[in-house]
Amino acid sequence: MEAFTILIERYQKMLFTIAYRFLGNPEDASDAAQEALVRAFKNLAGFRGQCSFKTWLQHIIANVCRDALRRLSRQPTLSLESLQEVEGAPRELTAGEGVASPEEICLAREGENYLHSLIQTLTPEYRMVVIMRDLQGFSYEEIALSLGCSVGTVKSRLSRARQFLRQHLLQEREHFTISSVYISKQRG
Amino acid sequence: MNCSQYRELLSPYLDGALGSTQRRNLENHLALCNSCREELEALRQTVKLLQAWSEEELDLPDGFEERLRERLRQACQPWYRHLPKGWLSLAAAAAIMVGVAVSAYAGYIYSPLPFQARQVSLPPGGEVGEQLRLEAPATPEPVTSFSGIVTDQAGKAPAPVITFFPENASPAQAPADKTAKTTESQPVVNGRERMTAAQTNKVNFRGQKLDPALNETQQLKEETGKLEEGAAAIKAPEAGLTAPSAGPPDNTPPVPQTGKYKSAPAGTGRLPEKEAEPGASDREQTVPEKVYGKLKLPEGDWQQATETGITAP
Repeated sequence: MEAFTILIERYQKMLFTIAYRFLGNPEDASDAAQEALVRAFKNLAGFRGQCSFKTWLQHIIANVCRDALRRLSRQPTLSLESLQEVEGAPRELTAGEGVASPEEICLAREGENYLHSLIQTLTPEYRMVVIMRDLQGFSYEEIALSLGCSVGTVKSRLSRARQFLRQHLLQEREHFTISSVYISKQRG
Repeated sequence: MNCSQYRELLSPYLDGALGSTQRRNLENHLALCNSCREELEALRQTVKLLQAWSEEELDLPDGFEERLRERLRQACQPWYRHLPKGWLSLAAAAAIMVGVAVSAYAGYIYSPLPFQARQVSLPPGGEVGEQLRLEAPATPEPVTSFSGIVTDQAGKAPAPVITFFPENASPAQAPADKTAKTTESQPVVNGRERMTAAQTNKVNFRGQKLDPALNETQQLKEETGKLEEGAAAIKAPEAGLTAPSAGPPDNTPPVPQTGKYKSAPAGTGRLPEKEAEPGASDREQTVPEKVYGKLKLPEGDWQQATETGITAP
């Protein structure tokens, strides 16, 4: 057990961070990360080296968080459908409108906290897909296999989730363009 | 396709997950549509932002490692050590209760109360064909051998005496049944209702429908009279006593005979005892002769008896 503790020491923060992106609060994330490490310890003999140990841990934490999200799915979340119904069609950019990139806006609004809150507004299905693809780097097939859905469903969910994030970052850009406080500071 | 439909393809286009045809169509549209091109660039930056965001690692909360070590230590222990204390005792008690309940239900637990089996007995001084009495023993008797009948009459009132009337019984089976009933296996009578039905509906004590056209009482009386005649013939000179040619084969197993018939007086309806025949050898004796105490009927009477329904055992 001591050797395993030394082995996983370098992956503890990574697992906790991913679990925090999935679940949204440090308490659930801590419990999920510990659960993933316990599962890895119990199934260590089943690890055949078909992938890296880090990738194996990424799969385990994704499964743990998927189960946790299913348990927590009763909590009210904001669905993409309702957002699109309220806000209408995606806003089109006009030529020469680019004032600030989404990355600049994110940095202007204390970066990760804003992006984290945006991801938490997604329903668990969309959140799982966008985190597994853009944060963990799984392929479409791996995501489909883990979630038990088709690759086409993964494509569709990921596209809508990315557009949702991009759209809200665009709104924030307009907000800061009007106020021009933080963006000016960033540019200055 | 319009711009909205093409924008649905931007996300898989960034990941290289589009087919060749879709990719070519999208690239042709992007070359013509400046808005979709900017949208693609904004989406690419968003994805970059997410990927860069994923490289950041948060600090672990306080007590994370201690809690992790504790959980790993628990994972090393067997599963039953994780259960709360006292769970094992409760589980053991529940298992014992379930076992006792199952055993009691299946009847494996010995009941100390004696049970009474209704038996069929003939009155010691009664006449054959007169009455067949089914009665329960006056006092409970210990069961020494399994008779094939298990009743749950322990602790209950004695079974009522049920009287069979010979006119309800089949005359053809009367002698054989009496012999069988006095052997070790005791028959079962299923209560007063069946006898009531037998008396009123003309069914025998086995519940079989009797032929109303047949007068059983008269037939039984005739057979009884023939038996009496046979008993009288035994006492006659030996010249008239010959075994019927239509007798059963010698290898027929003998039917055990009880002592109740051995001392039955002749002329009372019971089968008479065998008269001593010093000259007759045992090989001439057939099985029914042994059963009925060397009963030998005149040949004409035997044929008549066979025709009327009395069959050899």
